Amino acid sequence: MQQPALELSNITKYFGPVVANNGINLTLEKGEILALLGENGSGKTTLMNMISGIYYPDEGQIKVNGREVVISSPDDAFKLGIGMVHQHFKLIDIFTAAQNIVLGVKDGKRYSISRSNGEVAAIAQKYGFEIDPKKKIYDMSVSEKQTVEIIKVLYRGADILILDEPTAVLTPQETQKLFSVMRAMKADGKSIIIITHKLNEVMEISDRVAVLRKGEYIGCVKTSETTKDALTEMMVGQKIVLNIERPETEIDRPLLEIRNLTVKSDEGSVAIEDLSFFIRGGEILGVAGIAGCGQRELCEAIAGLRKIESGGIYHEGESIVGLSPKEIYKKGIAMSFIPEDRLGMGLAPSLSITDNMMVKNYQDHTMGFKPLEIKEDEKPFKAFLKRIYNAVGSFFDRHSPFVNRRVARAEAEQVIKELDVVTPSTETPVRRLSGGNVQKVLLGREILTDPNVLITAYPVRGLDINSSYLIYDILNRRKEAGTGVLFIGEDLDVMLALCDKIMVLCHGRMMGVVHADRTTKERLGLMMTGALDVAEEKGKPMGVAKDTRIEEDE
Amino acid sequence: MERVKQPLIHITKREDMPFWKRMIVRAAAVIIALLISDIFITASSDGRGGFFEFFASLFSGAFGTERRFWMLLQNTALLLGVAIALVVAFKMKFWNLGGNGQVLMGCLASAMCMFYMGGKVNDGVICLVMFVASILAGMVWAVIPAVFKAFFNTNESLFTLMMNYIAMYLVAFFIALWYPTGTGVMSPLPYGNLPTLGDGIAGRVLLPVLIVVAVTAIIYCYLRFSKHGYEISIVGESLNTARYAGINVKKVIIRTLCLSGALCGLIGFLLVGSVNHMVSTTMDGNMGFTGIMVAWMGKFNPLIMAGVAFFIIFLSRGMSQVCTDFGFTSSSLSDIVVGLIYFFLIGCEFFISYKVHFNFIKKKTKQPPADGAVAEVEPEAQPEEAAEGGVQITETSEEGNS
Amino acid sequence: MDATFFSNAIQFGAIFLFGCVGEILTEKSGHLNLGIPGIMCVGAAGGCFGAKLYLMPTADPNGFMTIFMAILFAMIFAGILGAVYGFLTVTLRCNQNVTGLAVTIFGAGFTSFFLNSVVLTEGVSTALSSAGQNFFLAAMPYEALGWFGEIFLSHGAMVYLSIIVAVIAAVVLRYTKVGLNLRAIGENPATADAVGINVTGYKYTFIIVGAAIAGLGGLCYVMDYMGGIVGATVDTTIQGIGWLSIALVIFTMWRPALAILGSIVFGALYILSSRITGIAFYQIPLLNIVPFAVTLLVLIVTSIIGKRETQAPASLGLSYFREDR
Repeated sequence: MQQPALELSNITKYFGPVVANNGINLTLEKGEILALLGENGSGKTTLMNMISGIYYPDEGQIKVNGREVVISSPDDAFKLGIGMVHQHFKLIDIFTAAQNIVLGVKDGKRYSISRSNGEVAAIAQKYGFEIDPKKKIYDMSVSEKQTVEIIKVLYRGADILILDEPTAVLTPQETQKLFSVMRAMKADGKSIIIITHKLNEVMEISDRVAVLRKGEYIGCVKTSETTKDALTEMMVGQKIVLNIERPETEIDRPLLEIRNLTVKSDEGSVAIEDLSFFIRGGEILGVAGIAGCGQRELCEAIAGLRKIESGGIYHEGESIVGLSPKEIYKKGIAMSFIPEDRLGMGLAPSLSITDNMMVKNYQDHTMGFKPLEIKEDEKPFKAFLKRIYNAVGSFFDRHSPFVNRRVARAEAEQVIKELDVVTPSTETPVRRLSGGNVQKVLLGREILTDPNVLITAYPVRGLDINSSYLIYDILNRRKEAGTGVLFIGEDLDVMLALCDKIMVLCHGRMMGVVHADRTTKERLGLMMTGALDVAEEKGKPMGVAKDTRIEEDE
Repeated sequence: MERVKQPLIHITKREDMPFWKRMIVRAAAVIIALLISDIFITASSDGRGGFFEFFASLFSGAFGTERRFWMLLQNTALLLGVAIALVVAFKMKFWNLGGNGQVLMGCLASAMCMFYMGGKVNDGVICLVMFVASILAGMVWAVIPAVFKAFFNTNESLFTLMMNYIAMYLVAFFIALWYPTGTGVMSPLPYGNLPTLGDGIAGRVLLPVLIVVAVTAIIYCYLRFSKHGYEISIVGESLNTARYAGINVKKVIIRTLCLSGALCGLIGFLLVGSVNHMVSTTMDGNMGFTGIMVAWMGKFNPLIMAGVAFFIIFLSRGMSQVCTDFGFTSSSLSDIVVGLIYFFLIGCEFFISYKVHFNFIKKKTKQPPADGAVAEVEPEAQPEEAAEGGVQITETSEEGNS
Repeated sequence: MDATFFSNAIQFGAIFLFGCVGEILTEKSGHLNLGIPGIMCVGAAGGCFGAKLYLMPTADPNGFMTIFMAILFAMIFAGILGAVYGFLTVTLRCNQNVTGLAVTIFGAGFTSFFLNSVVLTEGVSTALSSAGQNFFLAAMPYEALGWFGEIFLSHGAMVYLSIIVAVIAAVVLRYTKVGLNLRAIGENPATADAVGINVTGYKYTFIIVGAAIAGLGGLCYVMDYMGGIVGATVDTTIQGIGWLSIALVIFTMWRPALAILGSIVFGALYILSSRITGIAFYQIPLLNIVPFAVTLLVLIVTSIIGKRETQAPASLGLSYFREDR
């Protein structure tokens, strides 16, 4: 019997106390396409990084072509014929495609750009890629960059290719091209692992599907013998009953309305496409979706940090498009986005918690001036002097050139106390705090301003259970106070328990808005993966409120 | 079968080091550098001085007479002033390497006032005009690169570097214009003397020193307590966060460099008005570059910077005495010693912010990877107790590889 | 403007060319070495020292050996100072600007001290100047070829060496794997690291090679342009030339081949003030401004156009630490 191309047995990887992968077994046959399916944080990328030499497994063994191997660096992986195309491309912008592809290859041959161009063109021809070897990376579209990355791996003689969510950045047409290339590679005897969330694509391209859930290996099935529903069930698992409250509140007219919004990502691809939705006061609108399908761009567009291509954003019926981030914040829209590195947005890592508290409101700081009291029976001259003193004092108070750290420190203390932030003092640089505490500082600051719309993305990312519940509690309190909350989350169970309504995004497009208490996890899973679209179902455009505050003539 | 290759020396970022330990590392660096210089100079001075005479000369050169002491104080103040001016820009991560040029432009503006107004109007008026003119000149010289940085992201370090030389030749141009038959040297003019606070050298030096002390205090407060200072730190920390906070980054860059240049111009004013009463192409005394050293080694903290500035001036003045006492004709010896101190002080920062693990020292009882139990050394998981001792090359036994 | 002027421009340009090519190689590895002026000074000191080592005990010195020894020691001295810079910025990850300035301060001081106290002992001045005149400035018979000969063939070995070095650097950067890898490191060290290029090794190599080449510029000034006459202010002059060399890097947009032309332009501008007749004494400094002003213009224009190829390597000035991620 032929040896499998790759065999993983009992692979386990810890990050600190967290188990990222627990006893994973996986086999990849020669010349097959294996789809690796799983929710965010299910450990897919971690597992693949161990095969490609980025991480080293804590337990378990890896066999390549039946031979046991140790892979401790990307170089080792290449020597074994394993190549991975990461989600974030590692390319030199000012080099041409061919230069990037041959970079670092130690084949003992002299460097000749014309020969490299020829070799690249030959590989492209063989598998049906469309690429100009002489084109510079900075002139390329996302899909072209991805092509360069794939050829880079093939050029190094990889027989096992790992593609980490390759279709996430592609248009449907580009995806089809990629698939035909993948089929050509398969016909050439290459083995391919593709990580994806889109069930349609899984069904279309893969031979077998392996499913991971929360770091555990769930199973592996033949694509021809399974259905989308069965796969979704494997992926999301049974619904877990969480003890999260969902208080009933009076709901208001729409506070924030988004109409036909289109936003582009940094790379220039369309991140949010023709999106319409609204948030009412006193409700939590969940946003479900695979990571990187426009959540970040949506947040930034609402907060005024990203230019929008078309469409409108209305706050209480007034357009806020084109306003500065400060003006939007003044209207009561607060945004807290926890990026993967947790520090990227909205915080100054080397500055203290106190200093980070005043990022948004330092310009409103006063000196804490107290006007003198003027009594009725005061002598006119004395009263006049006091009036002058008060006028001058309040003028400088309003136009104070100084920040008021006493105020900020009080705010910091309040956040530390309310959100249970673990820190030596209010003057500790944020950089020194642990990830969860950094998050609490960021969220706490946004809540302090008493916003009427709170946009919060991944607020519990990486937090322990207690802190997470604390944050759910805070969000519920905001909801009861009449704030409209946009909750961008990862965990479907949490969203089903916490949110009133859930909007599902799939690659920047809305797949529908559903009531959390009247839907199922499987349904959400199907919508997230693009297999189910309820947005068009009812025959009326979803996401436009009947009682809109937007004037019709706009 | 491939083996796990472990680097022999593993370097990881250090979280934090207590203040006293950092001071010990720095002091050790200075002492080592001084000892090396001492040994080198004693050995190459054909027996004119011994090991300890070196230090005696050093101190006598710096403090020996009242005049020397006041000169030490004056030069320290001027250097600190330039360094403070540069810190304003550095806090924003704007590499202002143009201190020399900005100081020179301040000098030139002052000298122009003296030259053209001297004898025609009251000395006090001249002083006032000099003050304004030099601040404006320094400001202009710093704002030009700032504008291009703000709008086109032009590399500011290269830009300011070029501006230094343009300033230098502008000075040469005006000297040549004013003294067409001369040798390119301007003689001191009797106008625009700054007031003195008492008699003799002490009285003359006191005013610039007091001005610099005041400026340092004001800038410290500006950076620490004002809204502008806060904006500067945010822009320096993260442009994303700055935009998020609604800060107009372009405005902050230009405004901050106005201040930085103005302060350099002020030092130029003091140099002409109080110290030299003329201008020359080397009047900046390379303070723009030395100021960078002071700012960097003083960790942008005005108090430490004052100490560093004092130490550098002490060294350079002390070393010229050492040169005389030990029979060296070249005064450039002081540059060597100061350069050596720089190397050690710059280098020692590494041991403050990084931890070094020597992997070859630990015992190797590596199991064959057959049972798959070889763990990667997780750099983040290093225990903190590795941070012991003054010099931070510590040997740690890593539990990762059992 | 006569043939002599152009000839001198090329001769002076060679000094810039060494400094510029050295700095280009260093910057391509992502390191802005502001220590180049100091390193060029040290090159001059090392070169004089090497020539002295050979000349003083030798009764009948040979031209080739003199030049060889001078070049060897210039490169060793400059290379050592470059290695110090490399150690501080690559291994110890110190700030490049600060370290570079420290190198310049140290290098200039060392040169002045070393030349006066160690090199220029009894009789060395005469030996050096005769070596300069007879060996370094020895040219092939060029008079027969008229103006062409005077401009292009009248030079000593160092001038031709500078052009050879620039051409080699250009070829290495453009047509070899080493050059490709080096440029990748200067642009994005993390990517270069990921494809298995030894980032640290490359950085060290090119910082040291770059410094050694720049050191030849100092030697070229003392032994070729000055004809072996070691003046008292040699360190100050070379320092000024060094800063101009860094300007030339920007002026030529990080291309060694362009640097050959650029260095001649800079050389012409540098000597113009002392050659030109018919302008007033006070106008000379304005001429001196021209190279710096033109460089600024290039810097501004390239940043406004924003074309990536004409700008500094993307990671210039940043330390690379793999675990930063």
